[in-house]
Amino acid sequence: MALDFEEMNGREESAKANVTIVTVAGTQDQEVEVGTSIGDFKSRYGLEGTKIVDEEGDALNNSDIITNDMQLFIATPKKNG
Amino acid sequence: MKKKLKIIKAANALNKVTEVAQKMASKYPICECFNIIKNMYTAPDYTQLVIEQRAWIKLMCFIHLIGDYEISGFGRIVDGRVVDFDILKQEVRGAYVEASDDAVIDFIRRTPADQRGEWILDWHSHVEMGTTPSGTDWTNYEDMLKARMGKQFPFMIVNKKQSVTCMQYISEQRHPDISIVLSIKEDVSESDMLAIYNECKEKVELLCKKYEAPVTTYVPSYINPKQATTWPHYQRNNRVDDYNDYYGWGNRYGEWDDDDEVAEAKRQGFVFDDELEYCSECGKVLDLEDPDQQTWGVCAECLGKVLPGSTEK
Repeated sequence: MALDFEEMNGREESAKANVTIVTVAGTQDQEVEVGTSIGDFKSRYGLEGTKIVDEEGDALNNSDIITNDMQLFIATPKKNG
Repeated sequence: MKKKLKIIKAANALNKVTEVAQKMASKYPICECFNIIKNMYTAPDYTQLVIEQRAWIKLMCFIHLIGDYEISGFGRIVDGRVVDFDILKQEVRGAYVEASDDAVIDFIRRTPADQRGEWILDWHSHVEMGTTPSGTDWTNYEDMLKARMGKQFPFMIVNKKQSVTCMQYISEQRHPDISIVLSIKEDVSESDMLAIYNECKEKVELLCKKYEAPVTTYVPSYINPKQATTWPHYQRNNRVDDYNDYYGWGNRYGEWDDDDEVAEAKRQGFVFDDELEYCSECGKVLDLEDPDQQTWGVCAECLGKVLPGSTEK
């Protein structure tokens, strides 16, 4: 019988969600822990000040939680002078 | 119970120490710059780009169709060749153009999935001015780099005279030049050109909106001797596409060249500030129909002080 050290230590492996990030530069996949907030996600990838929307086009707030695999579209305004 | 209380006190003390340490740390002049450091030796993705003839015609159509306004968009690069240009929903001005984050997201979402990662060229026009990037441009490129997850990208500034500045934006401190080659191999017929022109015209009409200055009520700060209201500054500023928001280019007053509107304003009794003269002594507006005031540059009240032989002077 295999010993589950995680369980013995009182910890469970946290579930992961595949997040597909779509920007002007293209697409990239990231594995994120389920339960991560959009605010944490932004600060982890240096995306403060950017706008994030989901596949349906709904804007996500910093308090929204990543619960499953999803596609996120990220952008900032384009200002030129 | 006492032990638990001690633990809580210790935790509180630790929190306080952390708080103080954080406050102290914020006093040091740290500027996050890891992106600059890690990209010191990064090779640019492009040092040369070839622009396809049809793509160049399309770009020129966009730039000329928008008239005296700037316009911006993205370009599609495939194997080092720029094969297409497109625009997005935007608000255009004489020296400034802005597309909201929603507009950029809409652009990404309407890009076919197999073309994602190809529309990377960031372009905009400078109407007829030089194509050197402005302060606004540099700030925006840094923001765009963030939104591209730190991935370097090419940008291009072009004007009606077909001058081009093209660079690879790697970091705030590194943006090497990209040389541009215009491909003219293809024989594009006039009907093809017209088709491209009409496609661009439709897009410009659909996606580009002229900036409209907010309407504000002007309260004259003084009444001049003729009881005329001064033509408000803000109106002139806004008529030239809000040069207030912009610096470094042009003269916002010098751009006022709509003779009909000026004539109409004068007919209605408006007097332009630059046509007024002020008393050199007290600062009041001069009545220029009075030859003495015109000659001496002082108002009627101050004339006695400055006229020759005046005892007060």
